[in-house]
Amino acid sequence: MFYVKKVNVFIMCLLCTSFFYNCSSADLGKKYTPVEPGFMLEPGKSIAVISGRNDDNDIQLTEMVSEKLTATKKFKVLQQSDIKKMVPKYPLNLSVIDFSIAGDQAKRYTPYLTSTSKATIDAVHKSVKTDYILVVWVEGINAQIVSHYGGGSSQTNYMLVMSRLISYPDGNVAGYSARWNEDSSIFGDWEGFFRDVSKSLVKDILNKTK
Amino acid sequence: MKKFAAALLAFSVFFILSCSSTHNFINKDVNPKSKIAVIIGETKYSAESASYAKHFTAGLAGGSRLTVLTQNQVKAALGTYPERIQGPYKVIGMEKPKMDYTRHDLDRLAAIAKKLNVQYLYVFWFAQSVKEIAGKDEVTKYWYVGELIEFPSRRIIAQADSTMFYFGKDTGVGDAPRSIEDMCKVFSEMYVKDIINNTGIAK
Repeated sequence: MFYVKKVNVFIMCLLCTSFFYNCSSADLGKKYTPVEPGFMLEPGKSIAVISGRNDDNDIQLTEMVSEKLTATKKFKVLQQSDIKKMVPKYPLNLSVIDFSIAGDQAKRYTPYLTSTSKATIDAVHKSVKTDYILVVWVEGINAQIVSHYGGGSSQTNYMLVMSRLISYPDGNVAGYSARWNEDSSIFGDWEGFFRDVSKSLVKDILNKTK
Repeated sequence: MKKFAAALLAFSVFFILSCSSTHNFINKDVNPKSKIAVIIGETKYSAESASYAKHFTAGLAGGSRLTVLTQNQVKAALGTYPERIQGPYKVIGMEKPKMDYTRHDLDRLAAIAKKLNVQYLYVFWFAQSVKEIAGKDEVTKYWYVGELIEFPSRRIIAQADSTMFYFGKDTGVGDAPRSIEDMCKVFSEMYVKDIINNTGIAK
């Protein structure tokens, strides 16, 4: 459920253009960070990008991250179409992340996973057998849309994206991120925003690759 | 001004819905001696979906000549129910879902129809929801996608792509829906009536 607060109800009702969405993006969070300082990913190794939850936004962001990572040719990226064949019920009916971390500042900047989430990721790994699993999900999503009396409107979108990179065979969390991303555009281009966010996450991961 | 605006919105939407068909009918011939099941296609809004499925099923059973499976019968036959089924739309960010029939998982629906031994499925998705707040006034809106499909032919009978809503308790909008249950009851009655009246299956 997305919560929207209207700025001007009269205009909202007549034109359906003016609403304000609560958001808090002052603290942008953390870019992709290795758990062990100095740990670098090995290029050429295999990786599967997994959607943390079965929500459409998580699934689409995951697909974009996977595509971007493939394009870099740094890793052997297992394609989403192959993962769907290997992992039962993925992605529509499998959520590997079973907790919410939004607003929990203490946990947000840690590689936190519940034991049940970790067990589900390990079960996925038994099917995909890659060297790395990168779990990506959208923890929060907000928008602020303001329409102007003189005509036109402006929109700012916000998205808190989380990730966990698990390295196998040891199965430990090797890296993680929790980052608020922000995008301003005239028409609120969500698809373009998702592409930019996925590009940014991949860039951060590559910066921590040998 | 706020209450006026909220009332205006509610009136406008009800006026539009009550004066026009809620579904787009691609075909109108439905065999009234057939069996049908109502299927939840999206699990994100579970309370809303369960309530709507219950009311829609009751409406069809009460007003049509079709044999209608209860939700308990559907669950018993399918085992894991409800589960997400890819609908004919794409959602990204907070946008209104974009209809995209290439994404439609008709194979999954055909398998469900076969397992339930029914000739028709009415499958629906609450694809996206937003709550709008202005002072004490609140309205919660849902983007709704619904389809009546014949099996095994996979013939699409009707499609709906619309918005449902309910208001907060402090919003002055007369008899408009005030809760999830109200919304599901009011809109399912409207949508069932539309199906029955346009396909000649009334009792």
